[in-house]
Amino acid sequence: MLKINYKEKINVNLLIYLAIIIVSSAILIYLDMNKFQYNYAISIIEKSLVYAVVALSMNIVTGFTGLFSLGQAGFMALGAYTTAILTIPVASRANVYYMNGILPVLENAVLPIPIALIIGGIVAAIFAALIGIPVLRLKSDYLAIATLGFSEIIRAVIASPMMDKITNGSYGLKSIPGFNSSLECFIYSLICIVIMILIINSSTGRDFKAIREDEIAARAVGIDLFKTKELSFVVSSFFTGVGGGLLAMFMRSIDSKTFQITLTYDILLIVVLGGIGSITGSIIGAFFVTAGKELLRFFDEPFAVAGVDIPLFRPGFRMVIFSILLMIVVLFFRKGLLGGNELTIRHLKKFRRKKNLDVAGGAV
Amino acid sequence: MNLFLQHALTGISVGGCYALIAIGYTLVYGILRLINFAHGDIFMVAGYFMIFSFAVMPFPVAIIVTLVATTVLGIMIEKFAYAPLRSAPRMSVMISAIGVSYLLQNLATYLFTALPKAYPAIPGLKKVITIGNISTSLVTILTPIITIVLVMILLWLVNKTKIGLSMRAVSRDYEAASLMGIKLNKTISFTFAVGSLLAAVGSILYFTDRMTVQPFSGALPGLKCFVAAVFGGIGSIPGALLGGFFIGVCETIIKAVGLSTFSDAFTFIVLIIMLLIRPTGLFGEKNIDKV
Amino acid sequence: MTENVLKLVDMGIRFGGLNALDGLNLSVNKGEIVAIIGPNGAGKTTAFNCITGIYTPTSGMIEYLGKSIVGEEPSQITKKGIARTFQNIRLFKELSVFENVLIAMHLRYNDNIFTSTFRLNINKEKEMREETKRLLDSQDLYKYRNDIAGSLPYGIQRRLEIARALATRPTLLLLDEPAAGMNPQETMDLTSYIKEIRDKFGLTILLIEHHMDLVMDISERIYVIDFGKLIAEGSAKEVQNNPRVIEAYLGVDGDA
Repeated sequence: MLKINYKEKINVNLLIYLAIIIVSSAILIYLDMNKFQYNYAISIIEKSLVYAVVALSMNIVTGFTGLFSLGQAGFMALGAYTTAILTIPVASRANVYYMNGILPVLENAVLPIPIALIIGGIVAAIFAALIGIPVLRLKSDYLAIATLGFSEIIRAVIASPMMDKITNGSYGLKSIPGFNSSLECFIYSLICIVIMILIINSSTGRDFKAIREDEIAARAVGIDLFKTKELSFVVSSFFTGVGGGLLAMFMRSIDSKTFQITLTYDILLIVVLGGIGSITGSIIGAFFVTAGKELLRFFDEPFAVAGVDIPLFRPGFRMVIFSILLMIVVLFFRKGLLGGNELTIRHLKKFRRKKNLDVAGGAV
Repeated sequence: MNLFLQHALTGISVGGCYALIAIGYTLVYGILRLINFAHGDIFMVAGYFMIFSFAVMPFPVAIIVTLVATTVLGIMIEKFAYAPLRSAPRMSVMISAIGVSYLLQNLATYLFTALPKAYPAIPGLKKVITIGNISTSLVTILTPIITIVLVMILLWLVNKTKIGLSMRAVSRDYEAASLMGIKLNKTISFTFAVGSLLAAVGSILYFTDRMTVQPFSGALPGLKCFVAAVFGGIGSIPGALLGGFFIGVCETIIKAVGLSTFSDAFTFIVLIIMLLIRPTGLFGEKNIDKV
Repeated sequence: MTENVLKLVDMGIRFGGLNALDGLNLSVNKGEIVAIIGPNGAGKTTAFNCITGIYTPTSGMIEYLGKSIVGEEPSQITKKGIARTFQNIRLFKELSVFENVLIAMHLRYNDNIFTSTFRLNINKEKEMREETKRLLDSQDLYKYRNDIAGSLPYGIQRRLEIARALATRPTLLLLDEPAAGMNPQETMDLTSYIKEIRDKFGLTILLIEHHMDLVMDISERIYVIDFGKLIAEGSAKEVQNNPRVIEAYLGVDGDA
């Protein structure tokens, strides 16, 4: 009677996920083969994937550990710059650093992309560990403002003349090798996302959730509050850093202005819309927001019906729509579009059953 | 020496504006335990109010319209975005505040474009005054004076009036205060009104000096002023005043010695150092969480 | 020979100018059920918070199994074998009953993020889940395993909180007003339940309670605190007849 069927449950879900991955890969391979035709779609997909990684990493610390961190842009900048510096082809470097030259040590330092991405993540993680020591002992709202401030400090340092030979100061970096195919982007993102899901569902992830639910109770069952918070913050920042590296690859050229506070807010938008504390929410949210922003582009263009200009349509309109959407979700759907739940096959089944019942009820 | 005085004066003037904004943060945080991320953007919108009202009416009326409109905006934001979340977790309210900030910035971009708009010159304020070897504009001298006068009025309001007593009671213990018959919503609205009004005054003084407004003009000054409030001890009005002056003066000095790139980052370094050595700020009180 | 489990020696704590607790002496021996009683605001919960490391006492000693535990982290103290419940139930509200107990098992299965992420701890995880299952079953909570803790009826939440504390395998269990909000029948059930877990898990129990029936019925010894000071100790009978205790509870007669 006390039998629990973990195995079966896990296997069914695993199969479904595998199926989704295979189908997605097949679609991406098809798109890649017809690159010129689907250029636009590919770029939306790649951007969404990168944002999904960053949004999920933000969710680890904010949604699952209950710590409100707003340092995303800063950690992304660290990862992006590290990855860029380590991957720009040697031949292009003189051209990139044409104003101030490059630090001799870095002149020939080129690493394979996956390793550069990991180092980018590690750099972000190290900074997170350092900043976490003073800040994680404080109340959560100080964490928000301190991480926000930290992110601005990083930006200022990156853009400063002292860093010219490393970050190329205010000129930014270009000629960053991009993704060879959308499949490549998919694989990197997928690895990150899978590892993050594994963490969230592990015993470590359960400790995170315990802290989110009640810090005092968590301590009372033997969870080391500071160590666990620091762990969550560092892990999250690692993946934010890797996400930053992926963003650099997607954009091919970056400068310090890429990593303004607005970037953090964009990611927060995804996390909140998708549902704080929902893995699938963050992933779907990333696609929804990124694709939404692109598809709503026409809102920013002047729009005329029968020769009469509709006055609402001009630059900035779609961001207003997104801001209003964000406010609606915050005020009326506090748990996000997915309500803090995970979208799984079981839910879909339940939903269908309910619908069928409604239909049956209607027939009587 | 002259140069130093000149910079000191500029610093104090900027600091006065910062202090006025910082008070808004400190009051709201004191009462709702909320970092009102939208406060800097209220300050920015006040700039636009002035531009548009100045264009159609004489300046004294325009100033009054700006002050009133900003105050109303502050109260409305509280009513629509924060009041419904009174019982929600603090993170939700903070996200709502960020949402309002995001909305105001995007709305401003949409309505007024992202290009900087010229701020009107209020007659007399930009007049150049020469004291000894220092020449400066009237607004630079006026700012700290106005700031200090307003702070004195505010201190009187908080410490000597009935509504001030309610504010102090609510900031002590929200639930107990409402049980004692204090009208919670009225007190909170009043707090937002005062904060926004001061931000509007700060906005007029600040932008008269800067001469342009754009949709993101409020974001960074807003954050700096929050740091000023933390520095002085969140919840403390004299603390916010001191914090504002401190940040303003330091920033001006840093710019003067040629480290402009770091002038913004400096504020946050101050924040992190402060959180490390004295998280409650200069005048803050220590709170004990009840278990 | 009776083995001493917990000993407070002249323990005191000040908050600002207030002496919340002052010179508290208390000891609990192995296998005992000891109660702390006293009017509201007397400092009972504060004493619990000092013992579990949430507050650090400003003076005096706390010894657990003969060793000082003053200044240690709450999680460290839990690991040493002191578990507790809270006056206003603190569960992991949005997590399931099963997860609530499972999380409390973690401290005995040292995992790091690497082994747990890549599921190298699969055997430990299985063991933990089995043990959780057994514990829930023995506490009659298994049927609620998939329910969200915060959605359960009050009485069940109380029991779950105790089960969660038991999952850390404590030597000493601190119960902060376990009968709060219960009707007489539930209180009686709780009385036998507390004795039962004491015997079954070999526990030593220190509890704070207002229900005098329960206190008198269950506790071998009672400490009475008022205004942060110990005013009486002894058996139920002794305490009941102590004039200072009567005074603390009922106030002094009018002409005083």
